[in-house]
Amino acid sequence: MNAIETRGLGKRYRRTWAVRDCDLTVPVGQVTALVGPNGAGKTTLLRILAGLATPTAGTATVLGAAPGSPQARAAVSAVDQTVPLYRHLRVAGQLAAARALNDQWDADLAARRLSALGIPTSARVGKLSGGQQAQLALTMALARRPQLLLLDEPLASLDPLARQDVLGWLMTCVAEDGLSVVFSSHVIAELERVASYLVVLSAGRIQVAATVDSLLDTHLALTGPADGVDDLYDQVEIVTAQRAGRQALVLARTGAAPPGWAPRPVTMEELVLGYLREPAARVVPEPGLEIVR
Amino acid sequence: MTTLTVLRMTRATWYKHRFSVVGVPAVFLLAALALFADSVVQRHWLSVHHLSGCLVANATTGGSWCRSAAWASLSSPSQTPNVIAVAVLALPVLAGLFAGVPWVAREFESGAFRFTWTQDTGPRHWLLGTFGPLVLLAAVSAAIYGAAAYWWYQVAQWQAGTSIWSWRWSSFELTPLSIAGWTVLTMALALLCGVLIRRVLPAMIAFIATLGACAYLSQTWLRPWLFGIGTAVKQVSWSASAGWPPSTTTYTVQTWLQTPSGQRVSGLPAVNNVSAWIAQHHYTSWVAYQPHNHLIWLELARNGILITAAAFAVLATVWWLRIRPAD
Repeated sequence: MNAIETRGLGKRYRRTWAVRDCDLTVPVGQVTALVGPNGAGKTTLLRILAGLATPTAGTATVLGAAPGSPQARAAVSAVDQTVPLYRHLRVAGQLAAARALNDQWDADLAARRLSALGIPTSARVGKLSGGQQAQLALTMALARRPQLLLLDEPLASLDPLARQDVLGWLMTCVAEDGLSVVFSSHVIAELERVASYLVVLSAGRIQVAATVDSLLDTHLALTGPADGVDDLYDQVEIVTAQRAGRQALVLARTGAAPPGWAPRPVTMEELVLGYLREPAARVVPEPGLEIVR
Repeated sequence: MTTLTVLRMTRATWYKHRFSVVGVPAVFLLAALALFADSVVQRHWLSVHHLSGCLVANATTGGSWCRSAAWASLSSPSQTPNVIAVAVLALPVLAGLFAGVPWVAREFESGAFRFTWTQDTGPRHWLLGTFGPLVLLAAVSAAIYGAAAYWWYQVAQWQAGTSIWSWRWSSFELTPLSIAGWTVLTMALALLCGVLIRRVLPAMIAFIATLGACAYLSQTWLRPWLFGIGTAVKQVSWSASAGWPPSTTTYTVQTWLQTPSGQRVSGLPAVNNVSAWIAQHHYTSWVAYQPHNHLIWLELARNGILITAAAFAVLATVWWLRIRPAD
């Protein structure tokens, strides 16, 4: 079963398509990084998957169920980028409300996590710092014991130490419970450590959707003469080429470097930035990895 | 949609909105207590002055003697009771305005609904589980409040120097049933405005405008229309029809003259002795009226209409949530 499956998914706000023609398949057990520039449609896609928005076109399923259906709601946890909480409540009241709203609720997990974070249950939610509120929202999302976790910019309000801590905790949950995670973020360097699947959204369309390993295995950063770039197009599939004086740095989809070009493995950040610089370049989902120009 | 999920949502509502859950009924019950206490004091005064019989809505025990007693004991009839009667009807509106509308609209405005909707509960569970308890509690406490208001107004309208007449708009609408029905409608409209507009202040303004239109229609169209349904028709003497109704328990809808062939006479000639003129032409005088035993049925019908309107408002809200859940 796939964690996420969309076919021709589209969402239009008035005359603007936030997400369009979105075909995406994410297998279960993956930690998926959803990246894209501002306004690319990441939040819209996540809200559709969370059942918070209805698609204008196409279909979507999460863990085989329609988003927003009782089955999907029971299995999917989502934390919106607005960190929706009842800020007038105390932390204990917020937890009690969450417990009342769910069949499955791991009160021990929530208590241990909040205790470890030093968030007092007597504190009013609205008085917590932005980072603490995000931590509370994440804690409640995981205390539901979901099979799929959708996180929209969960790390944005956290300090670097807290980000590492959250990512580490998420990885533990993935390893122990087989949790699937999709999270959007602008901090690509942090995603690189944890993501096993990469989805790049650009202008509402899926630009890249593949496992990180397959992408890193099939792409190389090539350094060589700037005047040789044009000839290189005939030899390898080029995603982007940046010229700096007489040198050129090329992101290419190839397993081996052509003569005269120095290869090195690409980082995920280079890969993502390369594709974002060239919105026309696209890696369609496996098995048919190809660059469509 | 399972009952269990709605109950679960209701429990969560207690955690989220306990002040409103307690506050709305508390305000109704406090107002009821105030009206009840005032009524007890007034009734005691009437009892001391041997005027308790004046509170019976009947011409033979009430009527002119009671009015004289009222005018004698009060320096002048006070309009305050009628003003308070309007205020009594305004309380459900205030409950809808300051509890109902913000309850829903603030969830959208703050984005907190995204928390609830991504738990095991969905929008419809949220709607029924969140708002259902408030409507239920408000309706029950409003009914108690209505009972107190009805009891209080029996004294109050005497105090205002008017006879006890159940068909007066204020009497008709100050019953437990009427106030409960009115409260349910205000809450349903608060819900609709909150979900449609999703911003607290604009939703409050829309609510007041919508409810104002409903109140206007209720007074100018619904009540007159209802009072014209199923009337009893009776032939009376011309002199009796002029003084109709013979008791304070009936409501005259229409009086008219009729020719021997059954046609209605339009207009009266400018003659000195109308009775003689009527007798000379063998005209008969008729009256269409609502007898007292129709009152409860008309009240039930009015409340049925209010509840139906409230049900439509809730259905419209559910439909709107379905086509436009969050975005």
